Amino acid sequence: MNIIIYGAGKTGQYLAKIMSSKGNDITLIESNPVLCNKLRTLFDISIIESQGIKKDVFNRELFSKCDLFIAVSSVDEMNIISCSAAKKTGAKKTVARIRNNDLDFMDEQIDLIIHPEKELSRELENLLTYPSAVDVYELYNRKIMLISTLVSKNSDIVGKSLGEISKLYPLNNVRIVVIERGIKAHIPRGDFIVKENDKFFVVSDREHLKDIFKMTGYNGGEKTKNIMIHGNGKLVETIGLELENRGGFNIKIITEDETRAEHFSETLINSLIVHCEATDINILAAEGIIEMDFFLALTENDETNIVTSLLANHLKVNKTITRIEKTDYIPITRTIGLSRCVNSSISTSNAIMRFVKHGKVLSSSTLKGTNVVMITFQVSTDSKYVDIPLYELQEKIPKDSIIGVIYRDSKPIVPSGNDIIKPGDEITVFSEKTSLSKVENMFG
Amino acid sequence: MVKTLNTSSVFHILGYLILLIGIMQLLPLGISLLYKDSSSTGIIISIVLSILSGLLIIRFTKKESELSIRDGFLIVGLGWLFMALYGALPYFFSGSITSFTDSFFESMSGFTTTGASILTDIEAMPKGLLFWRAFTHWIGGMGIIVLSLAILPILGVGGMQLFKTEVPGPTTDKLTPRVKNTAKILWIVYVGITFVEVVFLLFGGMDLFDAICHSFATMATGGFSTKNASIKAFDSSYIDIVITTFMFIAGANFALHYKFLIGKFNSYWKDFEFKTYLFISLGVTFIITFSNYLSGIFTSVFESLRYGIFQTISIGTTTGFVTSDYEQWTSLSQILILLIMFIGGSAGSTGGGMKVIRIIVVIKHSIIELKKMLHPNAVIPLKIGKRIIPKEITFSIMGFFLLYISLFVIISIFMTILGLDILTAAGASASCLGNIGPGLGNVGPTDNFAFIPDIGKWVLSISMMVGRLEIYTILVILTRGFWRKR
Repeated sequence: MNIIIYGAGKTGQYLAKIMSSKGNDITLIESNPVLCNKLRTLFDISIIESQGIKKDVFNRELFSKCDLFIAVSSVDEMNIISCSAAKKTGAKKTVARIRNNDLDFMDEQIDLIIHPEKELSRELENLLTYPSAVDVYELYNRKIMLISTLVSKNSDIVGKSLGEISKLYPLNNVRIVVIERGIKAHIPRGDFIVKENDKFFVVSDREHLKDIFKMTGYNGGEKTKNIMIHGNGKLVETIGLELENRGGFNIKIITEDETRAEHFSETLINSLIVHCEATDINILAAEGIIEMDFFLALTENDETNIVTSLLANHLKVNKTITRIEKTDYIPITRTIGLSRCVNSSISTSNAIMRFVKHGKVLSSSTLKGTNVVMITFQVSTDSKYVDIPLYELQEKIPKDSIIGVIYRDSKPIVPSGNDIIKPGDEITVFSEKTSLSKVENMFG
Repeated sequence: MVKTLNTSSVFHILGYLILLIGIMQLLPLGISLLYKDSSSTGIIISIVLSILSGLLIIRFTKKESELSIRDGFLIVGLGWLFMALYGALPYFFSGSITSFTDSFFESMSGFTTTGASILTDIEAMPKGLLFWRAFTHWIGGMGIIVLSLAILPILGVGGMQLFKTEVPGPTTDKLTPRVKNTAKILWIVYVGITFVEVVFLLFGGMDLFDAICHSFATMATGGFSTKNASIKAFDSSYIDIVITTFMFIAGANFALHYKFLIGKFNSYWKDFEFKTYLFISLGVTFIITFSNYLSGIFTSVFESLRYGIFQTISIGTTTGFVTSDYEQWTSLSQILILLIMFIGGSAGSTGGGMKVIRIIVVIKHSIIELKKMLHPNAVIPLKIGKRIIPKEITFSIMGFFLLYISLFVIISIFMTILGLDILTAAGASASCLGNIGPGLGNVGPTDNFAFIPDIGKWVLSISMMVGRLEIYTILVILTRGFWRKR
């Protein structure tokens, strides 16, 4: 696919890297010449340096071949104008990222408008709803959940192989797809021995999520009530409003910025707004951080977020959500004990990736901080690998990939060993990047 | 994590390159069997050795991680060295060239498209090896790394850096977002034009074998001929014109040819470097033609033009074919020939030398410096056509210019130490560094490099490689900082 990305910020770069590695032809338009030169050596993509929207860049020659135009520059207005310029010159589909405006009515020029705050807020909400989970993703119109959870030391599955565990917990509609240990992600087989603190990625429907948490050593009845949020951006407002609407939460918002604090106090009526330094332990203690179920560090500054989350951990709030924008930091967060983190580049990219249809591939995204890609595509009618029970099929597909969900007759199925894939099904596969094309060829 | 230097990965890729060299030798083997010449056994031994060692290296190394910048330099540098070493084996094992030094020189001269030879009697060589000589030109012309990028999936990310080191010129534009596709396009254009030349040469009465060998040598701007007297042996103005035209095409930027072929017909005229290249070629031809005619070296203007234009384009594009001994020409003509040896072809062509674009930048930069003497506070950008050349690139080009001249001087001095006279030493040095072929003095158009002492041949071989990979690539490997862990 021929993709043009406008703006080489964090999200633009992340998208370019991911989409180029999936075999798309990427052209990146960026105004900063120094950044352009740097990226030229980093990625196998073509880079055009352009200050704003110029006639010699936005022309038919380039855009008539363009299948997808993604505007992720830092300026909302430029994103919208560039999308409409791209449409006029021949781009087939356009996507714009909008941060600070409500411009959803522009949808005749723009096929998809992404609000990173809304994407992040949705992710945060899920994390708060399932406090035992570390990541929560929704698949198939939110009918299926992909969650990750850490194996607690209280769990009786520690030291057992997956084969034994399946006898101990004969769970329906639950499938363990990836296990992350340290910085390495494994696609597990029956003989995989589980250790404490392993990170399970599990697909399941909503009703059976409780069973997973029981298995990994949480009693399953955990509820979130008291939440402290640190930050002053739009994200704080969005998530605050969302949580207030749902009700049942005690929310405290800490911000250093006085005008923002006043603004929050006007819009978020049921929350307590505190104007102080979040790195001041005494104030945090005075505000009752010890009683908090969750601490959310949501400022725009990664380092501040990491430090305040660590402080919260130190004050015995063991559930923190850290907003981290530099993707390079994500692998180290677990090492320093921050299990939950969110990243707007990744959630924005995942939202775009869900929208992109690449040949028979319906969607694909990377599991945060790992090499594992989750990919959804339609099984071709002439695939040789259909109508085989999964326990047999699993021997035939590459070792580092696993079938997670089968979608048939608009119903998602979390399969067990006896299920089969039929031609025309949609399937979601989890695979190491290296084996991805092999799997696609088998079913595509 | 990406290590600074990843020896296992580097050798893994080198293993594939060696394997590729082995497979390529199947072609001359076929020719050798067809003509039932004496080189078959030698080529078979060479093939077995190349393929076996390639496979062994691949077997005992693995690609561990993404390639770092240093890995890239090492792959290209060692890649070319191994290519020349394995490419020398057919000459050596068939016994046609008895010394390994000579075989290596001939092989390096082939791959770097220099065209300097140590053979005293070319026509006595077995056909298989004559074909191999031309074929090494052709592979080296567009570059084996570029070829691997196009056909092998092993290089992956980091390919752009490899691509840049092998394609001549200070800046390299990709024609498509993916390096792989750009490499493919360049090779397709290259193969296509070569094919057209073969057809044209066949019309001129060449047999198929000669037509193919000469087309390979022309399109690579190489210069190996199958005849002792080079193109002069055919003594046909039609063949002269065809080869002149195709040498000129090979010395121009292949990206322009591609743009032309997909329908952007004004692409040549919009390119400042191409216009300059055309201007230099025609200007020098004009002066040489009249200088030679007026001093009575040629009896008619037409004859003077025929040889003048052929020799100008041949040396200017760094091909090195010969139809006339330019050492018999006027001094003015000879100094011009020496001058265009340094200028060379365009960026993105198969030609050698310093490249037209660099000369343009150096001259423009000097002019700007002069202007700044008058207007110390003026801001004067260096423009080529409508494009402004960034300062970093200008400095990089000035550095290149200086290094090129320094290397020329150092190699010349070294050759005089070996006992060569000044003219021969300078000629050999300029010719090898610029990948031209014939030089001046005792290595002139009618002579060869056979008499140079072994140590001199090794130095010249390496200087060909340094010249082909545009100096920086090889020199950076030789710096201490390259090998330091920090």
